[in-house]
Amino acid sequence: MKTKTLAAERRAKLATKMTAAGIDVLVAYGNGWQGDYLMYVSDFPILEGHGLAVFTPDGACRLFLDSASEIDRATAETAGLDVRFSQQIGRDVAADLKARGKVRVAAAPLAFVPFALVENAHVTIDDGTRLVDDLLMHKSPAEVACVRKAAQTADEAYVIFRQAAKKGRAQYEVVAEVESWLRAHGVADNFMLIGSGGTDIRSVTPPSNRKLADGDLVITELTPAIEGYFAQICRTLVVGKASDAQKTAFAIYVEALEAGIAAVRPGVLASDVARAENDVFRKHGMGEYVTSAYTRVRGHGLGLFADSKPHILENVDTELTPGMTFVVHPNTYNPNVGYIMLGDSVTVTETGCEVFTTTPRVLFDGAA
Amino acid sequence: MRRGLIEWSKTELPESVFDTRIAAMRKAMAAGKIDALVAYTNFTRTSAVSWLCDFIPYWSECALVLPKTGPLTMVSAVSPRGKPWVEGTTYSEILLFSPKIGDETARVLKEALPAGSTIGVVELDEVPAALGLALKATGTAVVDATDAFVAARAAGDAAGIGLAKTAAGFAHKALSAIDANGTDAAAAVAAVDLAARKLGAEESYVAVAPDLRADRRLLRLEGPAKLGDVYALRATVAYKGTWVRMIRTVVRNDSRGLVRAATEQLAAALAELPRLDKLGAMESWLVETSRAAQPLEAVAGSAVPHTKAFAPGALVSVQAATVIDGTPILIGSPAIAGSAGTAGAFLLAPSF
Repeated sequence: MKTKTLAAERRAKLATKMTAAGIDVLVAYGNGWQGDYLMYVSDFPILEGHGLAVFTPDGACRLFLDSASEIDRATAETAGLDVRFSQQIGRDVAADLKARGKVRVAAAPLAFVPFALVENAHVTIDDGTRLVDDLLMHKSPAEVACVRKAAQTADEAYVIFRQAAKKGRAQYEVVAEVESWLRAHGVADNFMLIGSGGTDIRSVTPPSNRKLADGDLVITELTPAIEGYFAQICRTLVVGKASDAQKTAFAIYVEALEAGIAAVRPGVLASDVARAENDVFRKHGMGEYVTSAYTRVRGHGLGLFADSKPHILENVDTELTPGMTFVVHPNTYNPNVGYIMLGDSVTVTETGCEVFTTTPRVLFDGAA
Repeated sequence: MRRGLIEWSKTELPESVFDTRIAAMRKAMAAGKIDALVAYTNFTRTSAVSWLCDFIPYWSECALVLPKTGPLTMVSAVSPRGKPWVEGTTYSEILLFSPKIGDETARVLKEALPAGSTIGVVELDEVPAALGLALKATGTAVVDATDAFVAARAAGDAAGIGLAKTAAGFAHKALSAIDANGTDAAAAVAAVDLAARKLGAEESYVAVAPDLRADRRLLRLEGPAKLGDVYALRATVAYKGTWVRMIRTVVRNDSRGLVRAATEQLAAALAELPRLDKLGAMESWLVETSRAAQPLEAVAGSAVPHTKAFAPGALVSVQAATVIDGTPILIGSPAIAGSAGTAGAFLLAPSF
């Protein structure tokens, strides 16, 4: 079960920020794709439909949901909320705001709130995304502890993944085994992508019915959530015995991950971590493969969303500070063997970096 | 995100199905004087777009543009590296990639539509503000096209019912995987989840009410819980864009046949669908269907303030609570609403 004190802590921090910014009402939006803003405010991990939380600095929170089947769950899993079923959440929240009179309203993320809210609001709604982003990125020790625990679960779940990834199994059957193991251990949510094959595989996707074959690289990012906080592990295994080419290629990713993690400490920028990873590829003549043609990011924030800020890229100048949690993953395509994934969840500490995931950084294979 | 099997089965959903649906949509657009239709999809509002072109985003968001003539165009925020995956799961003729789908969709429409045109948006109220504002900024009239979409879809098709039957079969088999004598709620949830996903479900959400005598709410389990003497699990299963719910209540030592009696009670009540003011003798109840973008939208129920009409013969998922001989029982199943001369009935009876 979720810790109620964590929700109270988050709301207190939000109230302080709102007061400092002169915001009277914050409207947070969420759905099952991206629920972190809504979760931060309401403590509700939305799954179906979409929702808006209307929060004021006195701690009052009204939650509007458009899935009737989510109402029971919201009343059971949250505390101190006024939960309402609404078949038109944008219009109903606009009416709710109007009843509050002349107030300064911000929404996060403003771009995603239902169109009817901005069309029908009686006041201009400011963009409160950055205000909440700041809270989402800079975590308290209690929040970091949740990510640490989720990382431990990720390590354990990867053992199940390795056991399930056998020749002849379809990708979706492998993922089913992992999901079931997570449910059996009371883990409600997980972000997970998979790929298998050789040089034909350029990225990860949801599981397909492709069957694992001898010599396939099997890549995954596995991202369970504990109390709503996600942590990620990225690893690669080989069905059967790894080839020398696969081992040689993998060694570059180990070097890049170690370089990235070594760069993590307070005061450096996200771009410094990305550069440390990418320099390793450039040193090995693979500079082309750290561009957007072949890969997306060199890591990303972890917390109430599986892919949050900061993105670890050479053009992101977010300063790293203690309490930030993210995954460092130099995942990219290798023209000799295919896409390789390797990544660990970390947090920035007062003196450097703590690595949460403990699974060995090896290319697992049938002989491992 | 979706962690189940997403693939376009051209056996179950041949291209001719989409041709027929698109033709029906264009007919409804013409009736509503709509020159181009925009349908939005993300992780949770998938149904309008998947009905038109099969596509279901496992993550991220997309907008689909259907002009009254011309190619079906999808604007996707998925990374361009995901193009092969998107191409393999959509009937769209043109694929565009942009992180700002609102701006790109507006550009496409501005180039395609002559002055005086009208853009119709499915569930205009519910689309992201960024998309709605970008469309409005084109200077072209923007109207809600939900009614037109619902009208086009109301006719139903055999392919859609076929997918629902498969999904219902998955849900039934998954709920049958429970060890009825077990006491570990997490183990029961895991068994249902594993069975549904291994059968090929696109998604599986399992909720549990571990002790119905204490609390009738169906919850997503986080952490351990013990199953009581009367407990229920709900399987929400998606298969190729079609979603159904089924509920199984277990009454330990059910010598009086309470669960069977509840099933018969619901079967009798379903016969009256699409009557919307009550559901037989059920204490509380909910009817969900997919009208537009939501896979399971509440259209009627004991706690639903505004009932929404659904077509005779429509696929619905019904959840209900009843009390028999002092024992609370939750029951639910996909059903087909009655039509002229035909009573509403279970698509697949929740008998275990």
